[in-house]
Amino acid sequence: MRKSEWSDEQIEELLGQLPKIIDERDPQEVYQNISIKLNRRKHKVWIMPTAATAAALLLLVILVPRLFNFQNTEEKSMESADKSSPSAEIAMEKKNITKDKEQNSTNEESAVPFAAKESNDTNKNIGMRSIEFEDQSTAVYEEDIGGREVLTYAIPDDNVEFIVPVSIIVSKEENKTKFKLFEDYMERLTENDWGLYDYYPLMAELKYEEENRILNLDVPANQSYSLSGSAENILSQVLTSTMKSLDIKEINLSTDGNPGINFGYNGEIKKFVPDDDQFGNHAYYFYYPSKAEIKPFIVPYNEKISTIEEAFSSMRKGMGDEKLIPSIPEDIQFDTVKDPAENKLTIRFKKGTTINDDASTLHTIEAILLTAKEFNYDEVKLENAQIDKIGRFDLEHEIKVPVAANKRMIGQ
Amino acid sequence: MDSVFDELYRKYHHDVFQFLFYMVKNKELAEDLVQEVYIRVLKSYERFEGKSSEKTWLFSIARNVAIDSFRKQKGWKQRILEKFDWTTQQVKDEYPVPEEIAIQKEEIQLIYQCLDHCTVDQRLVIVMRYLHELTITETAEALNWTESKVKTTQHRALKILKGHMEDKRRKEGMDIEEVRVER
Repeated sequence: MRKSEWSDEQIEELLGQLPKIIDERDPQEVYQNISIKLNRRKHKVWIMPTAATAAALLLLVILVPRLFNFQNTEEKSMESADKSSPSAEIAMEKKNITKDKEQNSTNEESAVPFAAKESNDTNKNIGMRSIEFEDQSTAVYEEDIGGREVLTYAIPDDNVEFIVPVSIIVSKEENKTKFKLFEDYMERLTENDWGLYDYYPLMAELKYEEENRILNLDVPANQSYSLSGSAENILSQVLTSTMKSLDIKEINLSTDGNPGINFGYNGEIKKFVPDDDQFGNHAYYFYYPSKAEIKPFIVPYNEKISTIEEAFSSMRKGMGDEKLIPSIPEDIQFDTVKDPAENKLTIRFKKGTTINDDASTLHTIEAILLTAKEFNYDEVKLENAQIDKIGRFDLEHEIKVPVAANKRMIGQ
Repeated sequence: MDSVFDELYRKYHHDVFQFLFYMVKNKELAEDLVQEVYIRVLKSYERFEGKSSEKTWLFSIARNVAIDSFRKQKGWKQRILEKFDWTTQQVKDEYPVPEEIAIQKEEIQLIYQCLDHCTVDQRLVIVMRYLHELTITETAEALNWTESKVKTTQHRALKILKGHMEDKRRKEGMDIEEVRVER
């Protein structure tokens, strides 16, 4: 018999002896291939936004008339998608378009919600307003909910490096708890369309004991969940975030009915206990997935920061890599005044800082609001902005912090 | 030719190509992937800040390209099944063994086969550490991991390789004995 024992050194030596493999192509050829691809991509870059703009305009033409009927398009499109059949919807739209053509005469009645606010507006102005109304904000605010349920899912980014909280607003259903809704909608998330990693539904059986707020998570035995360190960390963040959003007290883990899941790095774990670090005091950054997302995701980085000032200053820097980019631009400078007793934060813009009413400023404000929420503030007042509104925010008054980050729509 | 390309090609082409080859074990695919690396590099070259060395930066891009390609190879069904973590999955391939390997001595061929038993993470570390002789620090930088993670992953990978080498040896040994018995 030959010796069958190998030492680490021998293995290392053998690895070192693996032959060099060389690309036999001519550099010229490689360069040619690359330049073809680079040029083709540039072309694509130009086509996609154009197509998207065209599609958006078309949608606008169809949707604007509907705005007159409905106070909140999002709400209605969700609901009507649930209730009415597609053909009925099309019929409705057609009706609205013809209505619109006849303009002044017929749709006075339906224009009431806006007309009430802006009494002297002509129909044309109403149209303009509804374009402005096109909301650029990303988070979920109290007034958006309207008696419905907000479900927040922690979804890993495309490279499974950090998690992005994504929220959907769904209609409440009789006899269904929030947890049941959470479970049901898990299957309908379109992570790939959002440029995120396709993580849901979880490959596990979930059972929730409502009365003592304990979640039992059972994974099939034939699967290996010996996770790598980073994936294990992601899972732990996902579970933590889920616990937080559903108010779960404890998660019991089991494999095919037997207690415990065997993790590669931490051994067998029977009960999941969230890392204290993962609660609160996070700073939010912008994340633009590579796919064509126009709005950024505003993403908390899993690192506890001691003061909100420090959080803001790291939000100016971003998280080092190219993904979590700064959410506060250098040209927006401000002082913070804290009022912990009232849970109120005041942001006082410095002289020389020009605040515009545009989408990017709006997103910066949202990142500030979400971070303020992490530090237990309820409302934020913006001062010295020189303008009275940014997108949906009225700067005359305190702004309430969002209910949840990153509102997204789900498909049928 | 682009001067940036020229320089990168001269300095790193063979390294990056070889790295990709040992990750995917397929020359044609590695040829495509190395081009993708250039595309990503050329598009973001201005953003390279010199925080890490140019070499580890290139390796980190090559690593992302390799991982993306694994992901593309898998069908969505498989991906759903592996939802929790696909980086622990083994890379299975039935590509022909290239000539460079086929002419090597038996142990080298064995260890080349045994690489299939490592996870993607483990293979990344093995190739970077032993084929490209990156230091632990450089490897950690290229993978954006901590040094201790590199060390543990390396340790595990060696253990797996050892295990499978022994297995193979044992089986072979038995084969030889059987032949003898028949005679």
